[in-house]
Amino acid sequence: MTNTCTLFQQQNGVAKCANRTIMEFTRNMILAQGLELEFWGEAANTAVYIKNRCPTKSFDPKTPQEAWSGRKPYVSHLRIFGCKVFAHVPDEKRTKLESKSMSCVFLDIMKAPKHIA
Amino acid sequence: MEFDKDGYKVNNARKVVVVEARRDKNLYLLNVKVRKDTPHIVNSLEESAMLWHERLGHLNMASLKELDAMVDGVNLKEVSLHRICEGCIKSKHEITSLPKDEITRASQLLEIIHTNVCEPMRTTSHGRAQYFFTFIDDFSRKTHVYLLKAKGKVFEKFKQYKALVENKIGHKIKVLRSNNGGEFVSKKFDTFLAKCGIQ
Repeated sequence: MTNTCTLFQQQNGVAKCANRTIMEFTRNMILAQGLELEFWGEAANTAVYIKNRCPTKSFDPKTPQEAWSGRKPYVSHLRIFGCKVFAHVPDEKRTKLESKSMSCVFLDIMKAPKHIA
Repeated sequence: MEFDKDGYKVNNARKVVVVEARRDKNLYLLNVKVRKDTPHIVNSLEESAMLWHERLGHLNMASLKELDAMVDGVNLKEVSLHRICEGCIKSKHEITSLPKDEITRASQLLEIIHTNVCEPMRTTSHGRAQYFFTFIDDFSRKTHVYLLKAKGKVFEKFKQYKALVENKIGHKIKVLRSNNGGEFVSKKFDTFLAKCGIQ
């Protein structure tokens, strides 16, 4: 492990800057949707997911995700963090007259199926 | 300056004794002769610049240079901008910026991994986490994030991350770069890194 001098954070610039970006994403997503602050964990996860699929100065013209996996990332499944979504309730889990969908709040992009309404 | 067993003498350029000291065991007792033709104050240009620097509340040398033309009663001919004043160092010292050309970039995936733990959140998340910490691959800038309840769990998470990425990419992490925080410095962590050959 190469350690930088304690209290001399500039040497650890890459990680510091990334954490700051993540915090900005997180704060913004929570406040814009008026969510409870305790959702910061989900927001931070989403922030990193988005950050990996956004342009970066240091690896032009690819996104970090493409540089990492070699495949162009797919983003059409992205939804606004904290927005209202409807999840499908499978036939086995409902009776004939019950609602076919369940309204939820969208919080986790990683676990979301790719066909959310 | 001449030393002998009785004391020492200081001569000036014309070999005239200006200072005499008598020795008493390990103590030299000064017997100062003040001569009328000897100047009492050595008033060199540099010193008077320093004197004015201190008189004006440690004013910076560049302003001092300008001041000379603006006020009367200050007689400065030459002001060296790079004169070092200890008081100024003590009170005005700043961090010098890091040289940009020393930054090394990785040339392949997993060559350098940056890591950092965020400041603790006041609100705990749903999983009762208080921190998040990131691993960033220097080459691609691909970021992985982990949520933590306590900083002590960093080691466990690092092992998890290491297994995940090495399996995915097919080769090993070479360098881990952290800010030397308490969570990264432990015997367990060091031994593990040494075993894996991570710098």
